[in-house]
Amino acid sequence: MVPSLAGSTDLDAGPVERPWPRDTDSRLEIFVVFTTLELTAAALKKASALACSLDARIVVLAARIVPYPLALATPPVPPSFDERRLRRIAAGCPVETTIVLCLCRDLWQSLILALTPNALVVLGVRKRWWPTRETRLAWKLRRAGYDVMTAETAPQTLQGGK
Amino acid sequence: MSAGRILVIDDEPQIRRIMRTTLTNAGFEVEDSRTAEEGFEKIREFRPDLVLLDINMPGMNGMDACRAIRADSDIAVIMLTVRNSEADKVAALDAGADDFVTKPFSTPELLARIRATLRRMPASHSSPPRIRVGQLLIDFNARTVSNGAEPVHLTPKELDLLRYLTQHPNQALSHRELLQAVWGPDYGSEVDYLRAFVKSLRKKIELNPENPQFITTEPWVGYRFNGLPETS
Repeated sequence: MVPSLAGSTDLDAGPVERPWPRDTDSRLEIFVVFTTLELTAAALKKASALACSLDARIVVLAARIVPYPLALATPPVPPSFDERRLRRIAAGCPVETTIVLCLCRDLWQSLILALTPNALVVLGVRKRWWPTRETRLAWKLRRAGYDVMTAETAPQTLQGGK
Repeated sequence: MSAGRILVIDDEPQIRRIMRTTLTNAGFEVEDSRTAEEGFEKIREFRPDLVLLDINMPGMNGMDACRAIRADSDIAVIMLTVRNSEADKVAALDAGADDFVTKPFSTPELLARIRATLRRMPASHSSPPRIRVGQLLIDFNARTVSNGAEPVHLTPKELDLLRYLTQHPNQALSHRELLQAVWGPDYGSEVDYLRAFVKSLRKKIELNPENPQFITTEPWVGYRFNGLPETS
């Protein structure tokens, strides 16, 4: 299914109108929070399997932090580049997928604004014995009342060399 | 309306094809598998009311398969075999089979035996087609649910979960019990999956999913379905 792009939105300007279809029907929304390409692909795979069983739709939420010297409208990485990458990883999803690219100053604030209360969130995490950045984000989201599912990826082994 | 769900486990493709045609024409929902191992997977996914099981199969034979089915479910089992000795019949019935049909068999006899076996099944195995709990109307045949509004479609797993919950009203059901009843005996620790399905069900059946009335959480235990379902 071809992912639809809900467009970029400035979440730093306070409460915003959701740019993607409103959750008015009885279908569940599964949010996939973008972390890295590899982890997001793993999270999307898990979310797709779940969405098929639940007749749900997927919203890929990519919050891009724009550092303060720059205006929000001019991020260091052009939004079109991010859009292309996100479209590519979401292209294989068999269910309705919406990509939301948020330009913000603070990741946590933008997630809180973009996620619906008690949302179901799927997060790709690296499988390590110590808490990674994504694991800590999952904990924080759980503490904030969201239902968080993690898709773990095994650590990559070093190739070649003696 | 389906007369029941039947799983045919037989290694002969002709038998499976004939059975599928015959049973489908008789109003049954039919799935088939070639080996016992494949059959166990189908039992978990398809959740049949009755299994037609061949005795002579490659890999696990019918007797062992019947014992394995009996070990964790009370689905009706009818054994099919070319053997007609008394010892074989006794062994099959002792292994847990409900009935025994010798090949070649006549279609009317097989259908009559299936109907008789299904009639003897405990009532808890099959749900009434429609139940009502207060304003909530669940139609298991149409796979829809409505709570004073437009009927909403349920996915197969959501329906299985709701069916199990309504079969055990006002009881605190543990996560493990729900996972094993709906997803199969290999499950038990995937609580986050169960939580996602309950969330989706609540969205479909509750007037206010944030403050559920029908499916409530039993902290540290699982979930409870509140209300007494009445056949509608």
